[in-house]
Amino acid sequence: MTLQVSFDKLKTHGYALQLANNIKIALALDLAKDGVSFKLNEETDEPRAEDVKSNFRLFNANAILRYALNDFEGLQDPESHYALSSLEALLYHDATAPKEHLEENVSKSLENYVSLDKVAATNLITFANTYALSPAHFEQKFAKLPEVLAKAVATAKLKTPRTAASFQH
Amino acid sequence: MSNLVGKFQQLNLKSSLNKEQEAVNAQWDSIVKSGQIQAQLDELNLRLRDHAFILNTLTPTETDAAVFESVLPVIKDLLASSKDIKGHYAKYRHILRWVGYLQELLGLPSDSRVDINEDLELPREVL
Repeated sequence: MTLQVSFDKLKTHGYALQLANNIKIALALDLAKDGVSFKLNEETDEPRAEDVKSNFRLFNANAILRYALNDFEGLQDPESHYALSSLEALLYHDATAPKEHLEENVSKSLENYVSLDKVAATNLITFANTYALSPAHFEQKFAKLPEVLAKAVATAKLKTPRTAASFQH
Repeated sequence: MSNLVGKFQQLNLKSSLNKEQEAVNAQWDSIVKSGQIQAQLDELNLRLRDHAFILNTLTPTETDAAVFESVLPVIKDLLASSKDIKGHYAKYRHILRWVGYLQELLGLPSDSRVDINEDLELPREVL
């Protein structure tokens, strides 16, 4: 199936969430397998993957990545809970969350969950959320990213428009 | 495990899911866990306009139970705090149909239910 996919350029939420979404979409484009292919749709500003013929549509970047990898394992694992309930919840409020709280969550993720050598959807979602919350903190621990992750981050940064407010990151 | 999901599991309604349904399940799992259900009410209503249950199954799944548990207080607040009851009924009619079914199926006590007025006349839905 070929799905039209678009990056997150929405102005209704902050840079960190856009960056996390776009890292996941870049990874989906790069790692898609099992008969899934994507065609980039530059006309939509929302993170989305859709097949017009079948009316199948995903609007959540985690689901797009999982679909691309055909990997639905670990949804109920502690890592997945942490990546979504703590890290992703913070991504929606990164501008208003206390910096200490944000850094503490990133540290906990770096210490307990982030693994750069696994190409499983849960690990990639944890990576994207942790990196996007605090790229500087992340790069202190992992100075060099594996090629596939570095490429996704570079693509995501290109696709994520920056505003004056986003330069705090 | 949450109460309503546990209660749902006791009903033993199993559905085998294809890849697209697994992806939609992952989507709503992300939305519930990241606390974004209120922001996605329009998407949920749209999904339930086109499908009886979230994963397009014949019977509800654990995804319905998990999303229902998260939606229930939001819908209750929405209906309780607004003067525009009819407007909310019209806007979220498919969610309300689904909520009504699930609260019955799960045997929710009356003080936990959304009190759904089925006699309310709603404007025709524009698709």
